[in-house]
Amino acid sequence: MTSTASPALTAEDLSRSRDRQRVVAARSKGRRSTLLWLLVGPGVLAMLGENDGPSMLSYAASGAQYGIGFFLPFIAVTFLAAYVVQEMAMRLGAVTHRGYGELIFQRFGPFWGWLSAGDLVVTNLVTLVTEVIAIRTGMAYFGVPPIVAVGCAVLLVAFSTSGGRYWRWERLAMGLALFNLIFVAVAVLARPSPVAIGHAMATWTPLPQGTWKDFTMILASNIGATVTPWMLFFQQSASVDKGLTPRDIGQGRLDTLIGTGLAALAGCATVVAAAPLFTHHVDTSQLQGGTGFAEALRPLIGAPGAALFALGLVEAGAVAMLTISASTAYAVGEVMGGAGHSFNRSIREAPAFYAANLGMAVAAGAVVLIPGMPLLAIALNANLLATVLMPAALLFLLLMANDKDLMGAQVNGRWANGLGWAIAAAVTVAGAAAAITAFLSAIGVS
Amino acid sequence: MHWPDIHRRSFGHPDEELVSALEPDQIVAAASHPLPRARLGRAANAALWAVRVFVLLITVLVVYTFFAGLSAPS
Repeated sequence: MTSTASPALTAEDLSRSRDRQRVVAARSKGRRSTLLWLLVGPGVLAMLGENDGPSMLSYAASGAQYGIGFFLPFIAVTFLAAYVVQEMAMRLGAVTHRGYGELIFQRFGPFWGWLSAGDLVVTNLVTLVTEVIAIRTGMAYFGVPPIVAVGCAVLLVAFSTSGGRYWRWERLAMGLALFNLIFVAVAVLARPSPVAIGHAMATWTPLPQGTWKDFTMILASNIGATVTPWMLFFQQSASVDKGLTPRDIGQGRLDTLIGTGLAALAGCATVVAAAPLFTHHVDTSQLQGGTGFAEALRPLIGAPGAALFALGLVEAGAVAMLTISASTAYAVGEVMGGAGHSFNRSIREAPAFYAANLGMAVAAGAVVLIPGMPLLAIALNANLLATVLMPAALLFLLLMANDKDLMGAQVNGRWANGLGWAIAAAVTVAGAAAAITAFLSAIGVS
Repeated sequence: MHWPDIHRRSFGHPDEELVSALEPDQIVAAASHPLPRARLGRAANAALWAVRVFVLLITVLVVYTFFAGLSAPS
């Protein structure tokens, strides 16, 4: 019989413990590959989820405007920065068993808790609009009407949340996320010079030409494409939902590293894929709207490559719809105190969690279908918004990862701190520079 | 730790075998206990104030730029 003093065991506990039993069994039998298979997920999804619609367009714009010289190694470095901060989020989740939003709320008070969650909801809504745009844009290349494309995007989120199990949701999202590597195929079809790629990676040259404003904006956009607040919320909360413990931190690091490698590969591949537009001096200023990049690339890399690029945009938007909606749902559930915030709960047990998850997707879809909406302005500002909100998110992350009361033996080491503070400083400077540059441009001061 | 040491609590649930795969503080009831507020040093407090000012200033710029972009022809 259950002791009256014992807390009630929920269905969420039972679902999680079934997943954990498999982990315990694999570990006790020394099956390393099975263990990795069971524990991989939040890191891969955070990284590949961030290779979303606007990010891929940002990488493509970098390749098309500036070639591979500077941006290929730059993007690789931004992914290394993403690894550093995402590893901290994973570690925080594994040690505390609490989500990022929940920890900010409890450790820094309701003001910062609500502000962080509020920031996240606004930024995520804007970003989700851009994901729906990417899906619509990609599908339009194949002649799919906008209403059908938007309907598919919303249905995908609804379907993914219908299982009542974190494991099912994660594996569905991961299966979809691997198609991000479509961009590698597009890059191969662009027939890049291996020597030029090697030269770019080794020397960061040729340096970009053009105006300071354009360069600053695309630099901030690329940073916003790899290091964003939703990733922190998502990976920490997903690690908790998955049931990671301090014993799993090694596999959690590997998971994050695999995600970093795959996402960096796809991101760099997109720069390479779009580089023929730079080589052939194609005017790229109007390519971010409509099916621009895919159509512009068709005469240069062939119809299959262009079709794959369009398909890649659909995939990038679709995976991000799942992960960004989930990060919003986690944050909303966590700051609402007693509200459930787990995919291991049913809709009846966690109504706010599922309402936030699906509601964000529906709202984003509705915005895209409103006639006359300036979608291009929204798309162009999404990554910038993420970049300027990132310093606050990084500050909380670093404070919590250095909190010995919270982390015990898993507190940040010297290297993690050095890199973490350097990344926070770089993101702050880049975000401020981009925001000021964009503002000056908006008021007519160039 | 400065909050109740939930690691050491025994839950005594009948599904002991199933639950043993979870850490005690992983169980929903245990994880629902709020943690105490962090004790922040001077540097952390200063950093939080700096972030407040940064977020406020930059948000004003971004929001203005965003709406200026909305009114521009697409």
